[in-house]
Amino acid sequence: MTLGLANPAGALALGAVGVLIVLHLYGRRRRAVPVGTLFLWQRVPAEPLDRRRFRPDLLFALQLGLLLALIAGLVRPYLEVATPAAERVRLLVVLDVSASMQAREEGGTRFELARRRARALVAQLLTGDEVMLVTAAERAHVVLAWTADHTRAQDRLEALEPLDTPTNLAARGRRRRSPCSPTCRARRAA
Amino acid sequence: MSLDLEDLARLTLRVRRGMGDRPGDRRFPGRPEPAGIELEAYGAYVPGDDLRHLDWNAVARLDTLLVRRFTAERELVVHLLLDASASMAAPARDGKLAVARELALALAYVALGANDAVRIAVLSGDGATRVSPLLRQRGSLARAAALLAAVVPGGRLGLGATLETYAREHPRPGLAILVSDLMMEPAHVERGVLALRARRSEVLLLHVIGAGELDPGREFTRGVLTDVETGATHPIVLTPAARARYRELLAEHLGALAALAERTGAVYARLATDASVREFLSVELPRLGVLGRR
Repeated sequence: MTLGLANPAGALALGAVGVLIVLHLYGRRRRAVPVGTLFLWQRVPAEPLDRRRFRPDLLFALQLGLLLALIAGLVRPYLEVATPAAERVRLLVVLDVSASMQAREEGGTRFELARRRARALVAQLLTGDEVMLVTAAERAHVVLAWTADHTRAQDRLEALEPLDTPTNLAARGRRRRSPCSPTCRARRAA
Repeated sequence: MSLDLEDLARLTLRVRRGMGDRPGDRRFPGRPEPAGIELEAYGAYVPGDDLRHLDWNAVARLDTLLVRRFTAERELVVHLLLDASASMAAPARDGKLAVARELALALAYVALGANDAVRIAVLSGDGATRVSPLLRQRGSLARAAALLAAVVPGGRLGLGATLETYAREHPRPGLAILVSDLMMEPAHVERGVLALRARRSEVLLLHVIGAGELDPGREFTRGVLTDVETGATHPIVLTPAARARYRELLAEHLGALAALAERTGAVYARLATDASVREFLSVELPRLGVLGRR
């Protein structure tokens, strides 16, 4: 089980905590309050105003809590339950994007049907499973290298479009043979 | 909320003392005079009395020389004394001076409507008191309003000494209405009230108190309090204990002001700046017997 940050750059917002502390100290400065008379106040014991000493109060605690919640929303921390390496799946998707895939079938073009199927396969992956996307037309092309970021894979799949070129299956085959490691259980889809 | 003066048209100031010298519409029972309209009493004839006022029926019946005495009818002079020291502008959010102005103008309207004479004295700080001439009849209201509108708060006011000077310079008795925040030692206030009472004036103390003075937590929680009149400072953190102590001292001060009014025969009324001036004039002052219907 590991803890990660989806947006580590968001941690820069922690600087806002420093700003909050400065504002808190500024509010504790020796503010002059004009009053009509002091003759009553002079009988109330004076209190030394020490602006340097940082004494957080309930309001500060609430503000800090709110700020940290906002920062947490920005950095998007996540807890990952690791899958044992032996059970990890590596999915290689080779998608034919040649002109023939533009042919219409029942339910859409061939390409759309293939992409829908590929997306369903990616959606079935568990945390830690990896996916690679390869498009095959005249030449094979790695669209997305091995990654555990399934959202990114889905986005890439969505962005693909069929081309007006023929298919070169030999190039596709060469690509298919290379990437899987012997330790993982590979599932290949085309 | 601005006050509609027409609502006050039927009100009049009620006084028992403060009879002036000039003939007027006000009747002062209990001090019968040889001439007048309303018969009040009979008195034994003494040489020098006007023979026209001898009651011949009484002479015939009682065989005694009796002269008629009439209720005194004099003009009432209303001295409107407005505190315009720097303290009337602090705390700024309270707007004590604006409320005091509104109150003074309303009372001037009531007095002029009842054919009383009004003199407005603006008690500015550092002994600079500006005094208007005697204003008579409602036509003078615009002048009173202009005078009050031009008041700028500032300076340090020694209320006791200022009222002593005023009473010495304007000795005609009447009704002296002091509109002030009275945030000073009660001894200073008493000194001024006694000076006015010594001139046979009836005294009305109208205490305009800021909402921020009643509850200082509305203004600050910590800071260096600075007296706008003297420049003296006092650092305060408004802890619950400090707040409770201030409330205790304020209650003590308000009690002392009410006690001094009772001791000196003055009338004391308090108006918070967040309260309604109209309600104060139509409910509180009539309750105290200061205002009544004509």
